[in-house]
Amino acid sequence: MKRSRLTLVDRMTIAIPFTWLVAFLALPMLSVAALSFHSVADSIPPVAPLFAGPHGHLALNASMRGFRMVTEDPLYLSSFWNGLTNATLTAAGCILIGFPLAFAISRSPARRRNLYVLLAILPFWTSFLLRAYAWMGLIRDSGPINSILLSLGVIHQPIAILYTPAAVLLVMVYSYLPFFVLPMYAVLEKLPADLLAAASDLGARPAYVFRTVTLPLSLPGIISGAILVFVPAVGEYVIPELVGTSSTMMIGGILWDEFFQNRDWPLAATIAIVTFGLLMLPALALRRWTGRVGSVSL
Amino acid sequence: MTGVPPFERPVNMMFQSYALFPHLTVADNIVYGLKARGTPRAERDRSLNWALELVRLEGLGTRRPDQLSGGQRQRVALARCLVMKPAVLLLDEPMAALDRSLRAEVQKELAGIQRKVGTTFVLVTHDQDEAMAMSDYIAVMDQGGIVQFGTPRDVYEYPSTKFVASFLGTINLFEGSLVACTAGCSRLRTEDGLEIVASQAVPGAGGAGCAVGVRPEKVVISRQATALPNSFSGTIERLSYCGNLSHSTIRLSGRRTVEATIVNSDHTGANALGPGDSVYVAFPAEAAVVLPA
Amino acid sequence: MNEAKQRPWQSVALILGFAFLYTPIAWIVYFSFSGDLPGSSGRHFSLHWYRALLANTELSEAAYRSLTLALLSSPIAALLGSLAGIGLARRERFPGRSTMIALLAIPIFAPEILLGFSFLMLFAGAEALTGWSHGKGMFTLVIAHATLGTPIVASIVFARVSGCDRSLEDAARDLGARPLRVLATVTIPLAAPGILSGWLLALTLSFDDVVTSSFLAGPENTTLPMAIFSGLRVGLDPQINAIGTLMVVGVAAVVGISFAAIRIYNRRAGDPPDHGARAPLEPRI
Repeated sequence: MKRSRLTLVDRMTIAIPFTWLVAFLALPMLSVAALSFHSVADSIPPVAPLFAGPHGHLALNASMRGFRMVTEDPLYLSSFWNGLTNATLTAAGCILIGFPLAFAISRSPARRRNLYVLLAILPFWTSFLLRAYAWMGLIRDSGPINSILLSLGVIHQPIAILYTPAAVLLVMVYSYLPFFVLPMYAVLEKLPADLLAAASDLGARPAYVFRTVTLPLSLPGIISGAILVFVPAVGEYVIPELVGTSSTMMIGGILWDEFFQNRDWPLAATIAIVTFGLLMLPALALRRWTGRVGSVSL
Repeated sequence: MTGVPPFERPVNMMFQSYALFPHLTVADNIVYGLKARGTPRAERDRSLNWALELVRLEGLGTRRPDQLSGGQRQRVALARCLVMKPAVLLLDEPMAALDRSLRAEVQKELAGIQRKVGTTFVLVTHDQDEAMAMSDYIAVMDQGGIVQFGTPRDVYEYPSTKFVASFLGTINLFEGSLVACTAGCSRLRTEDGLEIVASQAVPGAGGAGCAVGVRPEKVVISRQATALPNSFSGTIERLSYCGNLSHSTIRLSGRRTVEATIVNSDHTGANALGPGDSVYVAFPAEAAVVLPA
Repeated sequence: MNEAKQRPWQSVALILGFAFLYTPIAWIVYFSFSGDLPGSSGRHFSLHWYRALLANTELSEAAYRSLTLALLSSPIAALLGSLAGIGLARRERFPGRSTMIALLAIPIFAPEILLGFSFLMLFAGAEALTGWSHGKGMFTLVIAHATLGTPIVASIVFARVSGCDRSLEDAARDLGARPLRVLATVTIPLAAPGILSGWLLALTLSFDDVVTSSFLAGPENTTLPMAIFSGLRVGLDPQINAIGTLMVVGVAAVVGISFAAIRIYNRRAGDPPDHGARAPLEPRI
């Protein structure tokens, strides 16, 4: 049935959140983007006004300093690269652990399935800081993991896990896992049951069915779940800061330092905007290709 | 077969939803089972061409399911099963997703393919007309068990239980007790005093709770009394004109009505009937089927 | 029929997956009751850390502040997100739809620091323009957290409403209900389980936020995550275990209750139709 014109109620349901988001999200972000053209100054806030000069004369005090620094100084490039590789590995880890889990849940008896989904979400509902803290306790030199390995004789000295890139990867995969499992499960659950039944009926063994039917049909879900993990993971600050070292400095850490330590707001703004732009463009392009936004196909 | 996993059974099934793989082309769909079995390529291609020709989809091999019409999708599903050369092909409500106007044609096509291929087709359907039109045999099922198995004629004309009688088509049921049962002749007396004579004797049937069933098309309506053994008078309560036939309900008494089917071409002009007319309904003894309790 | 026989490797995947997810939580709970520092054998049962926690006014105040913040911002997020989710689900085409979707996507995809920065700019700018001087404080935090929570709620509500039978609203309209009444009496009740889960998730996200809070909160109104974070950078404080356990228990309780509530609701109101179900049999004529 062809829908009629939008009613007032329709318009309001969209307009209210829309206005809020434009006012409190879009405009501020644009002003951050604008900030990247400002010069730094020794004031509060540490930004020199864009337009200055004796009254009557407006001089544009813009600066491309930020952009120059970002492209020239290898520190920024290498930390961006660190962020990318870390995020890729995190996404890969989430797929490796998350897909079997989501798959196993989707094939469980219907009664148990909701329970399992709930169990998978529950950790997400506890503070992620605390879970990171728990991992810190688990993986440090005197922690249970090292103790178990020592007592089993697998190693003779505690291995340093905490404060290494491995720790960062571990905690990131752990924290981002629900971002992958939930949408993955949603996709797997919607796989029409009779497709799998038909494949089986035609003589395909379970492994063959998985390879030729289940996997190809879940691929869009895997990709969008991976994007949902990857993109925010690039700019992650808290986890590398907690369990990593300065050698694992990623773009998130750089951003934080520029803002809070160096008080160089324009530069921080530049880095933030450039990072965001570089990430969103491929993500948008990929979305066009798979036809979804993020996990839930909005 | 319940204990045997589906991929090891020698039967195949055509799903009501067709269950075509959306990410594969028509050709890949059709040869899916052959590929799963490891059939060599040359043989696969031969089977593919045979199947495409059989269901008249030549040239559409490279299309995807979402580019096909409903009828075409059904044919792909059929082809996909038939290339497997199953011992039996199970079809789950094959006509359910099709338009009414398409059904008659598809029924003929399906029957034609079945004859050509020779595989036994087992159709599951709730559409009685379809079941009777298409089948060589019908199994009537109730609560998961087969209640009667026979040709369409057997099952319709000689139902073995009250359930089968009322399940297929419509039937007039006279419930009562058999008062006499000799060779070739039974007499049933109903609660409201009617006596029905049937030319059947069902061994083992007797006593209360039996019934006699009469198909509406075998009930004769006329304005005058007839010489038939089962003859009752009543008033036409309702007359539904349905083109070639009319379905009428005749009230014999307070609690008793009889359904009769009239061929309209027999009742035109002076012979025409209408609601409120006083008529006689009658049927021969041969038309009455005895149904056990 | 999505349930094949439970194969052994599936059970293994489930067990390993959940073990991975729950080991840290188990660790927190265990050591919150231990008298020793975590890492040692931890064999003495003690409520020592809980007592220390209660005595720690700083942390308690921060916790109280975070709770208030979460309870204030999540309903706003729930409201905005529900409206957005319902609007998007019910109208496939309207001007600005892709912009709306993009706006909702930003908080999910953008780096947290960028978001925090943006909020700061927002309020610094407001301060500069209007002289309003509540730059840092509860008010700004509530707005920021509400904005961050909106897309989460929106996507959950969207999924829920899309899965619901559209003809229910058509039936209401056919019976003479005006759009507002349809929204209030049909659409929102249908979406309710989604709204509830979304609200809970927004609550948690607010309670967990470190980065944006760091940008917006001054030293006088530190939030709990900020306190924990700075504490963690210094070293491991066992009181945090106590907080953690309390949170786990609290969250589990809330989630458990709302889940049960949703189950009861679904049973009474009727689940959205599930996929792969057989079409209903036509009635026998």
